[in-house]
Amino acid sequence: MNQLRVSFFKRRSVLYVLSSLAGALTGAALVWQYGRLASSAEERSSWYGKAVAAEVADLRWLDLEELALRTGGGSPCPSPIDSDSALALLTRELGRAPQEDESDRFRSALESFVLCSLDDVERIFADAGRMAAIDAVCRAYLRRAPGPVERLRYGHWLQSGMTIEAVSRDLMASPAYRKLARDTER
Amino acid sequence: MAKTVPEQTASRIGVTLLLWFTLWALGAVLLGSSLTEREAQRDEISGARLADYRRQAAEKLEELHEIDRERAASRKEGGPCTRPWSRDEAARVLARHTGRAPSSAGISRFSDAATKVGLCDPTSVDAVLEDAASGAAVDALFILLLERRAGVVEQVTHAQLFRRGWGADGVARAIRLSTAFKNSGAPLRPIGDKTRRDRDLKDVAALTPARRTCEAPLGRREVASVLAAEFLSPLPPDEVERLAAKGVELGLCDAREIRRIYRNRADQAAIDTLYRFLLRRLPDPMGRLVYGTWLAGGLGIDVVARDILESPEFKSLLAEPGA
Repeated sequence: MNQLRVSFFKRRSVLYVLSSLAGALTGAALVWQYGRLASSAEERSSWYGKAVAAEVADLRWLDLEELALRTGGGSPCPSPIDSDSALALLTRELGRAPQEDESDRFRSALESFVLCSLDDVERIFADAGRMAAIDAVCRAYLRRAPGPVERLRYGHWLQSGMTIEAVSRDLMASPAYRKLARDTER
Repeated sequence: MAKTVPEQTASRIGVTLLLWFTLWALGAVLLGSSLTEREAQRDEISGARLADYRRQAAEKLEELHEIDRERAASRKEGGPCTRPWSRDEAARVLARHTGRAPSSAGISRFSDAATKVGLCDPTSVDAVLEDAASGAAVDALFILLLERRAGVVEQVTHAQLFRRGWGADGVARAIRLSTAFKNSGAPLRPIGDKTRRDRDLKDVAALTPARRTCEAPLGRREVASVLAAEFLSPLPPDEVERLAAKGVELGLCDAREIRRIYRNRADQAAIDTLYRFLLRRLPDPMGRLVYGTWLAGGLGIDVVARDILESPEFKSLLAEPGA
């Protein structure tokens, strides 16, 4: 009887040892697989992110070409808008006195978009439908309302026949959007 | 032989464990196959999304090219040739310009391309291929987009577009729609190659000592008179001063040398093309002088292209919004 008991305990211990070993092996294999899956998913999503960014950048470059085609590249204004009028316009749009860098940016935007008269600029700001569309995409991508330079830039784009998708792509290429996307990932 | 009680118990434990392991294995197989399927689905979705972007870009490129063609038609450019080229004539022209006997496929490609762009006889083809400025402009775009110079057939086709008044953007679009570009798998937007940047900088640094050190500064009046002859609007005095100083820095000790740089039609056409395509503006006198000196010193147009691609101006154009 004693011999039988010893044999039974021996067998049981062997079984326990074997099953623990098998369990440990399975556990390790699962952990390893999980790690592999996680890293491969990360690699894939980063590859996909880069591939999408490259395609969007291609499309955006074509948008810039389209803009140049639609606006004819733009020769400089024979008589540009005077600084005082530009400043008054910017003050009205901001609802406060602009800072120096803001007025510089606004003036250089007027110059680079070849907007030569106040009427041209007023027409852009007065287009409520387009301004609403710009406001919506800017809030969607940058989570804030567009500034006067952005409203001027994209108003000019839409007025020249560019699509709102092109505006979205332009915003997606901006450093502000990229920073926001990085922060959101974190 | 009948099993004892402990043996029966051990056997039961063994069976139970076996059952558990089988269930585990089954579960693992099911989990694995579901993960594989999900991975495949994700692959399909991301592939479809990327293909959609590519299709949009290809369509947009086609659309813009169509506008180029409509504009060209409205300029009343001559259409394609009414009489096809004879094979002998095409072979002779090709042999003259390539310096070797052309293949049959090469002859067909050449005569088709020449007919399509309205080059109907050897004289007109010679005129296009001998136009150094258009040739340099085409090469600049080929080097930028395909990292090689244009072949004779490509040169004929695209130089003719330049001669017909197409802009750098339009010709670049025509190149990007070509089979050679599609096969290259290059992106539609221009990109630089940072790996060659260090070598470029060394080449540029070696250029000035290879020229010479000027003994005396360039006279501002002499430079101003050269610039007045080269540019329609007079340049402000401080700009003239900067150009004169840059000339000395580049080893240009005489105002006539500056004139020679500005008057090199081929080099200036290549610079002009790169500026228009990459920076969407005409080159300024400083850019013309610096890059013109680089090209005159034997540096390739690829060095100029990479320098522009690395410039803050190009980078700010790539990521301009968000002001």
